[in-house]
Amino acid sequence: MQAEIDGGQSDITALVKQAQAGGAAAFSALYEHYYDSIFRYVSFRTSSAVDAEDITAEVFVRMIESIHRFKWQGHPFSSWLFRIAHNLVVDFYRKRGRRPTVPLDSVSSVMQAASVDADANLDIELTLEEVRRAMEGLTELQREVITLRFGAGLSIAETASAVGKKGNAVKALQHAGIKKLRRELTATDMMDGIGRLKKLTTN
Amino acid sequence: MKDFHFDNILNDCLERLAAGEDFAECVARYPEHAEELVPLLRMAQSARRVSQAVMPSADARARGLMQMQKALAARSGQRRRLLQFPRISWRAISTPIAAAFAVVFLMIAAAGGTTVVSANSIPGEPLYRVKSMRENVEERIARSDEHKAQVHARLARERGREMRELIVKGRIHDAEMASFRLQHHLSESANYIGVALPSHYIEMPRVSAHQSQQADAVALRQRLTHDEAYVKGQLIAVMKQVPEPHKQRVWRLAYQSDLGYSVVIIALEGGNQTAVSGYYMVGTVSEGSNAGATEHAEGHD
Repeated sequence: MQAEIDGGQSDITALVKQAQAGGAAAFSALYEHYYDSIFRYVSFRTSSAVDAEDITAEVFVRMIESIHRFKWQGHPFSSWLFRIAHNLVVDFYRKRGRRPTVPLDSVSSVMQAASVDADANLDIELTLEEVRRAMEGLTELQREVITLRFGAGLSIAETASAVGKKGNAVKALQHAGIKKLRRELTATDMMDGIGRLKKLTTN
Repeated sequence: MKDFHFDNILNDCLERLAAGEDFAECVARYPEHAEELVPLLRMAQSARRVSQAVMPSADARARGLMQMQKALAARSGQRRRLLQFPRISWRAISTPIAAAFAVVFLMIAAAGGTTVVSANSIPGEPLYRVKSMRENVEERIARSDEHKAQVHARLARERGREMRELIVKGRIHDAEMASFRLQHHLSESANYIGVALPSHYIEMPRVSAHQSQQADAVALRQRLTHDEAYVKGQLIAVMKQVPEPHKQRVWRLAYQSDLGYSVVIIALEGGNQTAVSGYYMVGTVSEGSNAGATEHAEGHD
């Protein structure tokens, strides 16, 4: 299904309109198009793959229940969908509290350690769990922006719409978030020592 | 002002890197900011790569799709019932009264031969409303869970037959709606027999039917196995008549109905989880192809 839409705004607009008219195929197409990015977004915010899978599935159920209320008001559909995901994550923590659960890397979905760069001199590796823990040191808005931008892969405009801020504000949050994320990783020594970060600065 | 300027530079580099531009080239655009840019870009790149390494499992994706389809079918059913019974809340009517109405309705309808004629109707036809009402009545007057399970199994099969008719008439969208209703009936059928479909194949074992329901589960499984072949046959039989632009959607319908039956049958028989996972993956891979889902499954297995 992914092949049927290229993710262009006109495609998405058409699909959303079809879905609002009850088009079953349009729902499936939207599901296929957004599933991965929603899952990644949720994975950045939860510590268990099982929880991430459940919340992601629930996002699309909520989409069905409330898509008739979605109105085009200059905001991309993705921002509306990610707001649903955000609310579900918030609900999840509200119900459960912030108890630690099984690390994301250890269960069903594949979470590989990520290599930072192909350049051997700058090569560092991070896991999702490390990034997720480091993000706890960010403000809620910074965390949301970083997750939407680098977890879900949203554009500045989409992110701005999802968090209800202007594009420039999102860029500032992005800047501050990256800086703080790096500082957090250094301070908590989660990147297996400052040495790996030092490699970056000696470039 | 300086920060605002740098925010834009950082974002420009991030966009360029995301678009595939070389790291060094990107930094070279802003040599005066290189020292500040490099560690931040590396950090962002790392976060992005971590994200790209997060891969949802095929099981989770398929499970989520089924969950969404079930919700869609339920919502579609609610809307349909509202249209049919705008002033009557059937849920509020007690079973004996509903049963009495049902008997009267069946007698009247049968006397006129309406139910017989409506049995072959498809969505959108005038008599389909009669058929839907009759099915609603059937669901309600079924006394035992085993009987309700059988009723839903029969209705799933009927949705499969309707899918064929709708496809022949070029009404692919309506066929897709029938497909969602088929999935709903299958799920209901399994629920009534006491078998919960697994929500997590990896960590959660199948939930078995109670001992007293084992025989019913076997009977239902046999019926569904037969119906699975029937529905598959119905859809494959019309495939040649489907115009090329719609072929992919029809293959998807065939795959989805086959998958729906397989999940329930496997759950009923004790569940070879690997087989289900493999099936999902095959389905995902075969998407976009015009080759039959079943043929793909067999080929890969």
